[in-house]
Order: sequence, then C-alpha cells, then structure tokens
Amino acid sequence: MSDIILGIETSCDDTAIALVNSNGEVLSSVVSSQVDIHSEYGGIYPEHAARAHIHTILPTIDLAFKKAGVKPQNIEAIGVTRGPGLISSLLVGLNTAVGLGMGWNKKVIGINHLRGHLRSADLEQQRVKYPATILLVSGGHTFLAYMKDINDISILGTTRDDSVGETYDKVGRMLGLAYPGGPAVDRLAKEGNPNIAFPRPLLNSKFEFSFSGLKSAVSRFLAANPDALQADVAASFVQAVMDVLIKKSHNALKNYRSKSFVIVGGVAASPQLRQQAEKLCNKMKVELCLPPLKWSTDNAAMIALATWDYIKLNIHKEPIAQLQLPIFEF
Amino acid sequence: MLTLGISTSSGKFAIVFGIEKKVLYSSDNLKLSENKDIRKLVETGLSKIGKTVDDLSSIIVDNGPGGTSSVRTGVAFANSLAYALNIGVAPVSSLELLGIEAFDKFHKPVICSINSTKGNIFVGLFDKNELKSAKYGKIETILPDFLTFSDEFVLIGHQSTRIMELSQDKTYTDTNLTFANVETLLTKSHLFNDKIVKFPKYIIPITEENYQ
Ligand SMILES: [Zn+2]
Repeated sequence: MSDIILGIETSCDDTAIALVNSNGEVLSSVVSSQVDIHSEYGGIYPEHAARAHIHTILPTIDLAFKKAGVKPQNIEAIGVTRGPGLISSLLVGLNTAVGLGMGWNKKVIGINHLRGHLRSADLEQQRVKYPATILLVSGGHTFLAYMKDINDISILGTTRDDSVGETYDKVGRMLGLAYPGGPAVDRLAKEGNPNIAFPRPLLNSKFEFSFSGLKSAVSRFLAANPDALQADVAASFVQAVMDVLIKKSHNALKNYRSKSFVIVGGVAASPQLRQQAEKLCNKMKVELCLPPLKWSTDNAAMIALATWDYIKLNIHKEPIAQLQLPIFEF
Repeated sequence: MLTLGISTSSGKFAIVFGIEKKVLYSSDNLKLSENKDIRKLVETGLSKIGKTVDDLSSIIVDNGPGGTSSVRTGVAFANSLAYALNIGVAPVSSLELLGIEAFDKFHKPVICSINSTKGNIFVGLFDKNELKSAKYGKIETILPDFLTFSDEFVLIGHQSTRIMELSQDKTYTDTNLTFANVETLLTKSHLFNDKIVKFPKYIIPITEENYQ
C-alpha cells in the first residue's frame, strides 16, 4: 500500500488540491483562490465558480504533485469532496477525480466535506484531545459537534438559516466594506463601541443557531439611522454574534465532557472569537485548540486526511455530487 | 490508436470508441445515453471491445454549447483522463458537430442553432467543413446576416422551425435533428486532428463568454 492520498476539494469557490500521507503529514497543499473573481460581484455566483474551477483544476493538481515531489503512481487513492456544496462546482472536482482515477487506475472515494473540516485540526500533528467539542464557523457552515473519537461524531446543533460567515459578508456589504466581509467587519468593530442592542437569536435554544434575524436587524437599524457610527454598528454586530457562539459553546462544554474545544472554519480567524473562546476554555478548564488558519478554511489536505479514515474503516462512497450531506454520514 | 469520443452537450451522455475512422463501439446504440455516470459508460465500452484505458491514444470531446453542467462534466472528465494518460485531447463544438452532420447529408450551407438562457441562441453558419460564422443572441437579430450567404440552407438544431417562420423567402431543408450523433466525433476525426492539445493546454467549455 502506498502512503499518500490525493485530495481534491471544489465544493465552493476555491480549487484546492493536496497530497497527504497516512500520518497527516502534508506533502503539498495548493489552494487557487477565486476571491478576485467573486469580490467583483460581492459574493459567489455558482456559475462563475464552476467556470473558474475548470480553468484552474489541472494546473493546480500538476503543481501539487510537483511541490510534493510525488509521482501519481505512488498514491494510494483519490479522495474528492462529494458534498455538501455547490453542485456545479462539485461536479468539476468529482469528474476530474474520476478521469484521473481511471487513467491512473486508482480508487476514487467521495468524501463528506464536513468530515474534512472536523478532521482538519489534526493535520500535520495530533492536536485534538478526544473527546472534543468542535465549533465550525465558516461561510458555508455553522455547527457544533461532539467527537468521542475520530469515528464517533454527533452533531449538537446547526444553523436554521444563514451561516456566520454569510452573515458577516452580508453585514460587510451593508457597511460598504469589500468582499469577503469577515476580516473587514472585525477590523472596523475594533474601532467602535458595542452600544447598539442587536438581538441574540435563539439564545435560549441549547445548541441551535439562527442569524437571519440579526442580519435583518442590522439592515433595519442602518436604514433608520443613516448617520450612525459604522464602527459602532460593526462592534455591536460582532458582539451579538460572539455572545451567541460563546453561549452555545458553553452549553456544549457543560453538557458533554470534553478535553479539547476546537474552532475551525474561516470565522476562526476572528480575533474577538479567539479571545472570548480562550476565556471560556479557562473557565471550563478545557484545552482550546485553534489549528493554523490554512487548515481551518477550505483546503484539500483535510479532505485527504478524512480519506484515510474512510480507507482505514473500509468505507467506500461513490464520487457522486450531493448538495446536502449530513455530518454524521461518511 | 484507440480514440474515445465524448458528447454530453445534449444533456444526455454518449461515448464512442474507434480506431482511425472506424467505430468499434457507440453508447447510443445501446440506449445507455440516459446514464449520467461517465465512468460506467467508458468502462462498459472498453469491456465490450476488449480494450483497456491504457490503449487510448487520443480523446475528442464535444465542448458545447449545450447543457452547461453536462458539458462541464464531459470536459472535466476528458481533460483529466487525457492528463492522467499523457495523451492529447481535441475539442469540437456542438454546433460544428451539427454542421458537419447536416452538411455531410445535404451538401448545402447549414444553419445550426442551440438554445441558451433568457431566449438567447447560439447560432452557427457551417459550409464545407468549416464554421463560417458563430453568433450569440436573439435569433431575429442574428438571422439576417446569415441569410445573405445563400438562397438555400439546411437547418439543424433547436430553432429550425422558428428560422423557417422568420424568413420565408429562402429554401430550407429541415433535418429534424436537434443534436448530433456522437459517432460523428469519430467518423470525421480527421477534421479535428489539428485541434489536439496536451497539458499544460486543456479544453474549456464553450459558453456565451467565449463564443464567437
Ligand atoms: Zn467548508
């Protein structure tokens, strides 16, 4: 058995390719970002994303092999994201993987993107101490999960509507900030005071999230108060999001015995979230695990690492696109 | 010298295998075209002709226009298979494919048309093995230019009936076809030889952005 997996990830707007061995060592990880394309439109248009994937996927694969100094004959299998995600984008990665698998005579396994995120914290080194509570906050997803070990995952709660990342992007747009809105909103928030009472949606529900009400409240406030200090709006919005995320995470840590609290996803970059999570973990006497951001945002190394789990458990999933895919499914 | 032809622009998936211009296998004949699993189609074809993927020496792929997702599926597969096998891949537009097929039967200028979104149409004027003109937009706007080319036309594609209604002073032969036969990719493969590319070049689907 060879010791390397080729991971392919095209569920959203980044073309990501990686080569990872069974110890989680990343031999190469290349992400072709489409931020420039999508910032022009203030968001992701599925058709633009799919067209860009077709342009970038083969050169990105070629580069990943060159960087790793690996020959295709030396890989064990190809793991490719099968969902959840944008169907048109998924199809490019999946069909590319199928063509490569056929040409190289390698097995192609369809991987659940969310399992990739859950495993991302163990890339390059074993960071997570199980059992662990995991908060995934990104443009595509928002949920809390509990992992007894790497194969025993339960979902505690997810969002009923928008993800945290989406909400940040939309509020960023309302404030006239550039796409992606997350980092810009966080920066602006630091200059303001959280003195506007925005709602904290579903604060009393144990683990479930909802952000569309908060988004609408910001929009209504800006319409009614055109002269409001933008930094104060940003600070108040960020505080509302943090209160919700920290309260739910607190609920999870109270109810599920955890050695680590892991935050992954693009919003893990938020300095406010990192700061408040540290306070929470000190209080709960749980180790805070913040993997490097490059493994936190969408990448293919996490898909390759998850592929090893499938292989070790002898689970085969066809490389067929799935718009929706529950987290507990392999 | 085994060649694989792939056409997915009609929304249905079809493949053909052949050597030189001789068709060895065509999925159309087996009514497999509703199958959207391109790998299974190719594997079935290879096993029917007793060959393996390593016998392939080139790929010809219909790169649209047509069903956006299905074209992308066929092209992504063709690109990566060619890359993995280190062989060449040639693109043929679905309009050219229609034109070739219609011209071959009737030996007259062909107007080929494929529907796009928002009432826009991909229209091609094909004559003597060559796409003379390619336009994208409303059929009413495009047609007058094309009609100056000849008094007689062969029609193939989605808008054939509409074209006959719009301009009744020309003579038309309607093929009653909306999509080309995948076997044309192989039987006319000599027309596509000079389009073969190898990585770092690869095929991009035709869309309204890069058409014309
Ligand atoms: Zn993701």
